[in-house]
This record gives sequence, structure tokens and C-alpha cells, in this order.
Amino acid sequence: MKLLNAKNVIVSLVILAIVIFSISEASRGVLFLGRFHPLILHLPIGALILTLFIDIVGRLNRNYPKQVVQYALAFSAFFAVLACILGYFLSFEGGYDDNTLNIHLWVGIASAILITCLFLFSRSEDKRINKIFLPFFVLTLVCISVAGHYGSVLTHGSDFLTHYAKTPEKAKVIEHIDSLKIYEDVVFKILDAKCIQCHNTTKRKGELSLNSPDGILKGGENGPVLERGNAMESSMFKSLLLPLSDENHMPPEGKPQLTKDDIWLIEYWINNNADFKEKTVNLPKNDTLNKLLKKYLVFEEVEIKHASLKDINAAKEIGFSVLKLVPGEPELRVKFVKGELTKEALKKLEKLRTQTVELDLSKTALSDDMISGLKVFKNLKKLILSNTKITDAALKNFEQSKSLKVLNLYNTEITDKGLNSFFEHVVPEQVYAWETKVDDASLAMLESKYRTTIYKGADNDFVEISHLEMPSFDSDKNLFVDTISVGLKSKIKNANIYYTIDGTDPDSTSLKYSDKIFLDKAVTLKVRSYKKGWLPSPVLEKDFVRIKHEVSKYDFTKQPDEKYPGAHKLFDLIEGSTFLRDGNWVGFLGDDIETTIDLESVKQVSKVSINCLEDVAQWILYPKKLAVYASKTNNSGFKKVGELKINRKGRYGDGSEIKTYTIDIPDTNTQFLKVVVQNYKTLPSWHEGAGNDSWLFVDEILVR
Amino acid sequence: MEELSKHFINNNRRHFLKKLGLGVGGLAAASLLDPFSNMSGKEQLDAIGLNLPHFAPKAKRVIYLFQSGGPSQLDLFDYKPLLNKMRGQDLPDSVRNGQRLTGMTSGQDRFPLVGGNFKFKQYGESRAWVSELMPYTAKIVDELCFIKSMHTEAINHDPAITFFQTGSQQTGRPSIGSWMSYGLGSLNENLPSFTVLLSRGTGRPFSQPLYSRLWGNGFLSSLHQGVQFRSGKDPVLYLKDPEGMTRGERRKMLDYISELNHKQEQEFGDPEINSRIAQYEMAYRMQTSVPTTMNIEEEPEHIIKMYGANSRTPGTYAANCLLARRLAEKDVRFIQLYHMGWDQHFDLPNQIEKQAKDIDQATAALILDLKQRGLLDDTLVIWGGEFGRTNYSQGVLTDKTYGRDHHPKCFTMFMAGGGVKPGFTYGQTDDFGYNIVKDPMHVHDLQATLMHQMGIDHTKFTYKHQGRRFRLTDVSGHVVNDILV
Repeated sequence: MKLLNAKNVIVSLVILAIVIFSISEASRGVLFLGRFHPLILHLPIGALILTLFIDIVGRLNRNYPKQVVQYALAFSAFFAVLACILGYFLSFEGGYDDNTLNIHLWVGIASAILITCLFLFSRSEDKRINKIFLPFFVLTLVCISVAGHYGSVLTHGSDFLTHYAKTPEKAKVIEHIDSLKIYEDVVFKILDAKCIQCHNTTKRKGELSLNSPDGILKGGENGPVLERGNAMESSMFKSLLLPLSDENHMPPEGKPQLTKDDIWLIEYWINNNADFKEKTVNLPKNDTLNKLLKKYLVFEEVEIKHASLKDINAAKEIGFSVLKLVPGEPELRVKFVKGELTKEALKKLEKLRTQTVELDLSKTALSDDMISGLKVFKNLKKLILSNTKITDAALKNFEQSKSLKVLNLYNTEITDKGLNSFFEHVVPEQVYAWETKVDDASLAMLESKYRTTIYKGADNDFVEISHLEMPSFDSDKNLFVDTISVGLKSKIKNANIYYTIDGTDPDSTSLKYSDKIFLDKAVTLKVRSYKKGWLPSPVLEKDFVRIKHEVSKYDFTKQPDEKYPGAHKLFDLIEGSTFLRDGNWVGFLGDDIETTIDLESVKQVSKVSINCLEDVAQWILYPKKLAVYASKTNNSGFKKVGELKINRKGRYGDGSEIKTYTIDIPDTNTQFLKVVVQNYKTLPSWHEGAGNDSWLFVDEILVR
Repeated sequence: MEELSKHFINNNRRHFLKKLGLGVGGLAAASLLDPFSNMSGKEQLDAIGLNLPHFAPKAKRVIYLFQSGGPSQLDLFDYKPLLNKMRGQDLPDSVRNGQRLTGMTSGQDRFPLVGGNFKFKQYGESRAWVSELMPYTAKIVDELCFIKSMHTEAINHDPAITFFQTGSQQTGRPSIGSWMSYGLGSLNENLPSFTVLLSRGTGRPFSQPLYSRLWGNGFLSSLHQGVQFRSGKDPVLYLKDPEGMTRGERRKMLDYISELNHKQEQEFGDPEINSRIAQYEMAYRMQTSVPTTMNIEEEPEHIIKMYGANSRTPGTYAANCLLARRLAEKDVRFIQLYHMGWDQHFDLPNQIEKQAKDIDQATAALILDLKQRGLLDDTLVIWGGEFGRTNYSQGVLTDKTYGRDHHPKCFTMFMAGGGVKPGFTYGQTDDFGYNIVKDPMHVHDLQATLMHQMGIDHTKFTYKHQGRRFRLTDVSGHVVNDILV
């Protein structure tokens, strides 16, 4: 107990306090120590409450731990004094309201003194002192509470404690952006949300308070923060733009930041003279402003009760889809989806009149006389009546729906007069009036008079006159033996198709296609469609090839590769496309094609054509050489009648391409023909697959 | 008998617990007298335990115009005059900064910079830059919100598309549309809430294909998988009744199958049986709803003109755009289009010209058409590919032609409607068009923002599978509020 000698403790504490108070000044070290104030101050409070608890429990149990109480009070007293000293240091930082700070300081010192006294009392043996010990204890706690409260006012502002205890003030209703005051209703709200917690009259960080026009104009420790009319010169704006990592960026990192919209509004306000009284209607207008201001409108809040399960089910039974906008909230979205809409059905829906905020009756049998029951739907925000027979008379029923934001009237009988008289009562933000009787000329008038947006469909100049699509052939067939009838169709209805067979491009004076085109010789057919309001289609061109002899008997020395099989396809008169897997192409890997054709009697032949495909990237190359041999007897006496050597030029081709090689064998009379198509065999050195077998792709061998 | 005993063994602890869980959940729902518990089968399944949307949604539906292959932002929207000035010079290492390359250009000795061959101009009140390849898009820039600063983690097609669609480069997670279908349910009980339409571009007709797992349901119930609508005779495969079967007979058959399935379900408690029952019913309803939806014959000529003559050719992008609008009118939640052929490694100027022509008019027409019908307000339209293309030429650069490799570090997308700021451009790339200098937007950010517009908090919307809760945005993603109205 020697150390806790009362005299020692008191004297040393008083000396320490006096020394420190007298020598201290706002050096960095002192400021650093000051920041420990919020930590240390909680120690004596906690210790004191614990002591009170021990004291009372000890008394009740008749087992009073006198020494424990003494130790605890000594602990409290020491840290109370230390908290006072550190608090004093912290006050050097400045930015606090002087009045509040003074109260906090003196009540804090008083508390420290009271705790020290408590400690002394606890050591006393005097009966009188023992009697007042407990009341004195309570007084000390009250004193600490007051000191603590003022401390919290300094850090959190004066209404921090009671913020949620007070019933919120009813917000003033502002339903139109023109009646917003730029400072009071907009800028102040931004500052209040993001800045004022640290810059107010009690907590004035950087000597700046932003909670009143005077405070803003007065500025902070570095002078004025606002330069009217020039945001870039106003430090209260500039500090918002600094990078987040910058020490001077506001609000500091970790605090809620201003959004881009907030920043835009503050800039706008400062650049327009930073007036504290002006209404927005007197400020220069622009679209961004109008859009951003909408967020600051305040509407009267209407409380809506939940709809009953019975009513919702009844509505569903008659064909409405009823959905909640958000689960747990009463607002409903109602759409008619099943069956035929009747007046009775609408009547039954009335039960949901307060909850329905979105009503969709589009594409129904809705008519003017059915709609009168909807008068009571006053909470509608979105109303969709498109694709119905309603006229101006129907709109009158919704004049009480004051919160209407979106009104969709597309494809109805509504006129501009109807809209005009409706807007006298309610002006939705968006009105859809495409395919209605609303006059284009009065549209602009309505929009500017009522400040709303009315959509009347895409601009007429959106669609440039475009080309019709090419007609298409009924079938892909273009090889024929005697005659062929060619059918055409056009995707756009009632387009006229013109065609030529002489190789010239067709125009609207050419032959007109009506039913079918009959061809009995090889021609190039060119077709093109025409229609009023469109540019003519590109020319579609197709070669028709007449075959002299259809081949039905043939023999191959080597069958095609099993991946692209079907030797019969070479004589089926169906050509392949550039898509090599379309099923019409027959492939030979590394092998030549060698086929003997039996014409079944001696016939005159003048040409043999072979269709080949090349796709270098797919390892498919054109043949090296083609040769035709003829003989009147089978298996012997074949004589070469024609040959075609192909000299490759260049390397890579451009994707898939098709070539027809024709070998002239003038006036050959023969029954048997041997056709040899020589595979390129080995991929050349420049090819990625050099040295490997190459593919040979053929779809037709034609005897002409 | 062996099969049967296997079944019984399968009905193990896990099934028992699952069944118990569903039962208790069902009881809880019933006791709350939830007015929405008597929804159709599908909605009811969806409603269990999910309190969605979290807040009032801005968009009811999404039309996602996926440009598969990676469109070149430098030739379409991201104008970089410096690249034209420095044409042929090497990409400075300080710009590339060690960025990994694909195997297709990593072997190149040089990386010659190349600007687009196409002229750029500013359009509309928003003064957005658009190249001459997109004349129709240029007309509607004031409806669009451009994001110039998209970036992704993947560098090859499959992982990149999978990343965009499912939030993970690895396969196996549900597609965005499946998440939406699972979370928000259907607005039209006669059509699937997630539909898919495919088209091939003319720019590079035989480019890499797409896989149906991109619109797969992953670990969600198979009710939520995307249903592909085809262009041919049968828009949905195996939907038609066989010849000679009447609708009445089909009904009878389904009723009987359903009875059997219910029995099975009671015995084994596998929730997938319920999905199957619901799917049979959906297919039955689709037998009438799909043909009417797909019938574009009834579209008037001025609408055909608006989308372009191609819209009458089934299977083209234009026709799919027109169908997308028809599906949106029917309140289909998630309409996913894919247009293939943007992967232009070589001969880009030639290919992109055709490719842009495929999509330009129809995309613009779709947005305007939605708008004039009042649908754009609550339909979010998204246009974009899985990554961008490099600012240097792949292969030899000549006066006329060049190619571009995959570039994940920046690319352009645009959105319209659905509560996204119209006439707005977000983000910025450097003068080389290689790195992002302002407001980057990650794939997960896009997904988070998309879900936010549909009324979903992406951090709260999870599905527990194999012991872990999965999210579309995995463990990241921020809602980009700056692009929202």
C-alpha cells in the first residue's frame, strides 16, 4: 500500500498535469498523442461502472472488498486524468465548436477530480464519508455522462444521438422540378449526406462548416472555398475532383463518396452563381439538369394495404396475370392474358384498385364503354392500352391517376385533342402514340406545353430505300437431259420478277416471270425482282446445262474414300455447293479417278465436263490432268480422244471454289468412255501438309 | 430387377434430406398463406424460397445480341487516329506491357500498328463516334449507352464466351438466361422464359461453332435451360405431334405420363421429375404458341423494310431480330441471339464490311421498334462480343488489308433501354486503343449491372450446389451506377 499512498498519488498527478498544461504546444508529437484520447477515455468509464457493480454486490453480500474498490478507483483516477491531458492535446487540432469544446473540457476535468475524490473517500475510515460515498459515486457517473455526451456532439454532431428517436419530419412535397430550390432542395441535400457530418458548426474540420450559407461563404482555414460562378476556382468543388488517394480529396477515402451526378449538380450550382435562394426555374435549363433534378422531387407518400388472397385469386381466375412488383410489398402488376376481356372482368378487378400500379390491357377487346370501371385506379404508374379500339373518351377515365408516369396508347384511335385535354389533368413522363391519330404537327406543341415526351415511331428517314432481296429458285437443279421447268419465288410479297436468257442483265422491260420458265438448251438465266418502294434486287444468275446422255452404267477402278463416298453421285445430275460436306461431293484421297462409262449403244459425244472443288486449307486440290479415252468395245481398244493438263499457279486459294473442266472431243462416236482424273497426289512443299496425300473432290462427270 | 434395386439404393440420405427440406419449405410457404402459391407449375417451383426481385426492377426482359467471335472495336466504335498516323510502326512494349498473346500471333516478329480502314464520324446529340460500317447504328446513337472500357480475363473464344454467359471460364455453370429464369420465373406460361436464336454471319461464314452448353442450365433445374428456336420447318425440334396424332390424343397421353411421373416422384422424391412434368406441359402449350410467335408472315411491309429485306430470310440475324421483338412482346424474359463470324484474323476489312452489314440495320431497327411499341423502357438490349481485337495487324499488313488477333484488355459494347442512360459513353481507352485509362468495366460488372436492372442484388442471388453457394458474378462484380438512369 505504500505506492498507493494518497498523498503521493495526488501530488504526482497534480504536478504532472500542471507541468504538461504549461509546457505543451501544438507540436506534431502532441497532436499524435492527442489522437489517443478516444481510446484512453473509455478506460475510466468502464472501470468506474465495474467498480460500482462490485461495490453494490459486495454490500449486498455483506462481504465488501474494500481493497479491490480502492485499486479500481485508483486505476480510474489515473486514466481519467490522462484522458483529460490527451483530450487537451486533441483540441489543438482545431475545427471544433468553441462553446461545446469548453463545456466538454471543464466537465471532463470536473469528472477527473470527482473520481480522484472518490478514490480518497474510499480510503477514509470516517463514517460520515462512508455514508455519502454511494451518492457521490452516482454524481460522478452523471458528470461523466455529461462530459461524454458533449464529446460525442463534437465528433458526431449534435443530432447524432437523437436521429432515429425523433419522428422524421414530413418532407415538403415538391412535385415539379421548377419549384425546387437549387440550394435548399438539391445542393444542401448532397452536402448533408456526404459532407456535413465533418463540416458543421460543432465539428468544423479544417475550420469549415458547410451546414449553412454563412458557413460556406466564410470558408475554412485556407480561406474561401467558394468562388461564385467559377467551380474550377472553388476549392469545395476542386477537392471533389482530386484522385481518391490524394490527401486533400474530399470526402476522405473510406467515407461515402459523391456520385458523378452529385458532382455535376454542385458544379452546375457554383457555375451559375451559387445562389442560396434561387429556384431552378430561373436557372439555365438543360436536359442533364432536368434529368438529375427529378431525383430530388418529393411526392406525397400513399400507404397501400396488401391485397387479399381472395381478390388476387379471383382476378387470376378471370384471366388476369397478377404479380407483385417486389415480394413483400403491396404493389401489383396486372396484365390481361387469357380469354376475352369483358366489362364484368374489369369490374371484378376493382378490388385491386389501390394496389395496382401497372395495368396492361393491350391486345384485348377493350373498348370505351368497358373502361369506365377503371376510374378508381388512382395509383397507376404505368398504363398500357396499346393495340385496342379505345378513343379519346377512354382517356377521361384516368384523369384521377395523378402518379401516372408511362402511358402506352400505340395503335389506338387516340387523337391529339384527346391527349391535350388529358394532359390538363395528368402529364405522364412518357406517352407512346405510334400508329394513332395524333397529328404530327401538334406533337411538338403538346411536348413543349406539357413538358413530356411523346413517341410517334421511328423517324421516316430511318429506313433508306433498300434493295429487294434476290428471288430464289424452287430447286437447286441446273443439269437436265431434255427440258427443265424452272420455278422462282420471292420473299417479299407481290414483287415482280424479270428474267433474261441471253446473258444480258434483266430490267423491268425484260421477260416477266409468271409461272414457270421452260428451258430446252443450255443457257445462263438471269433474274431480278422489282417492287415499288424498293430498289431492284441484285441479279441472280444461274447456268443451266443440258446433258446429252444420262449415264446409268459405269464402273470404277478405285472407289472413293469412305469419308466422302457415293460414286453414283458423280452421275446424279445434282451439283455440289461450296460447302464441301453438303453430301454431293465425292472425295478421293491420293487416288486418281478412273471410270469406264457404258452409253449402252454407240452414241455421238462432243464434250465431257468434270466439276471439281478446291479448298487448299482443307488439303483439297484441283486435279493435275484430265484425259478421256473412247472405244466401241468394252475393256479394249481405248484410244485417247482428249486431254487437259492443269498448270497450277499461285499457292493458296481463297476458301472453297469450284471449277468445271471441259474436255472437247469433237464428234466422237462411241459406246464406251474412259475418264481419268489425275489426283494432285502429294501435297506440294509449300503446303502445311507437304508430303501427305492430297484430296480430289468431284461432284459430276457430264457427257455432253 | 437390378435396375429397380439400383433406384432404391439411389434414394439415399441426400434424397431423404432434400425431400424433407422441400416438404418443410412447402409447409412454411403454405402457412404464410402466400397469395402467389397457386401459380402455374413452373412459377410455383421458382417461387420456393426465393424472394425475388429484391427491389423494383427497371427491366422486365433482356435481349442479348451476342456478337460471337469478337468484333473489332477499332473498326466500329473506338476511334483511334493515332493508329492511322503510326500505321506500320511497331506496338511499343511499354503499351503492351507484357500482355499475353494468343498462339496465333505470339510467334510474330513484329506487331505493326494498324488503324481502321474505315472513316469515323460523330453522330447525334451525344456526339458518339461510329464508323461508316454502321450507318444505321449511327442514326440511333442517342438511344445507346456505349461502354468503351469492357475487359475480360479470357483470350480464346470458348472460355471467353463461357465467361460472359456463365460468369466462369470453366464450363458447367448456368447461363445468365437460366439464372434469370430460375430467379424471376416466367411472365408467359406458354413460352419458355429463356429462348435462343442463332445466325451465321456472312463475314466469315465458316467460323467456329457455338455449343448448346452456352445456354445450358448448369446445376439449376433443367426447366431453366435456353430453348433454341430454329429457322427451319420445326422451330423447336421434336415439338410437333407425329402425323396422325390429334391434340386430344396427345393430351390423354400426357395426362397418363404425368400420373406415372407423379407416382414416381412420390416414391423417389427426385425434384428433377417435377421439372420433367412441367416440361411436358410446357411443350404441349408451346405446340400452339411457338408457331404463332414464329410466324413473321403477318409483319407488315414497313416493318420488314425497317429491319431490312433480309428479315424475310429465316435464320438471318435480321430475321432473328424481328423474332426477338415478337418474343419480347410476348414477355419472354431472356432472349439470347448469337451472331457468328466476327473472328476476323485475316482479311478483316473485307470480312467486317459484310459482317457489319448483316447486323447494322436490324440492330438499330430492333431498338427503334421496341421503342415505338413502348417496350424499350423495360427491355434491356445488349450488343457485344466476348472480347475485342488487337490494335496491331495479325499476318502481313498491306495498304489494303490487315487482320486482328483477340484482345481481352479493352473492347466496346453498347446497351439500350432497360433503365440505362441513353446517348451516353462510359469509359475510355488510351490513344493506342490497347489499355483502358478510365472507368474499366469487367464482365462481372456487366453481369451485376444487368441483374440490378432486373431487380436482383447479384451478391444475394445464389444457388447452393455441391456444398457451396454459387453466384453468376462469382465473388466479384460491381453495379456500374454511372450508366444507369
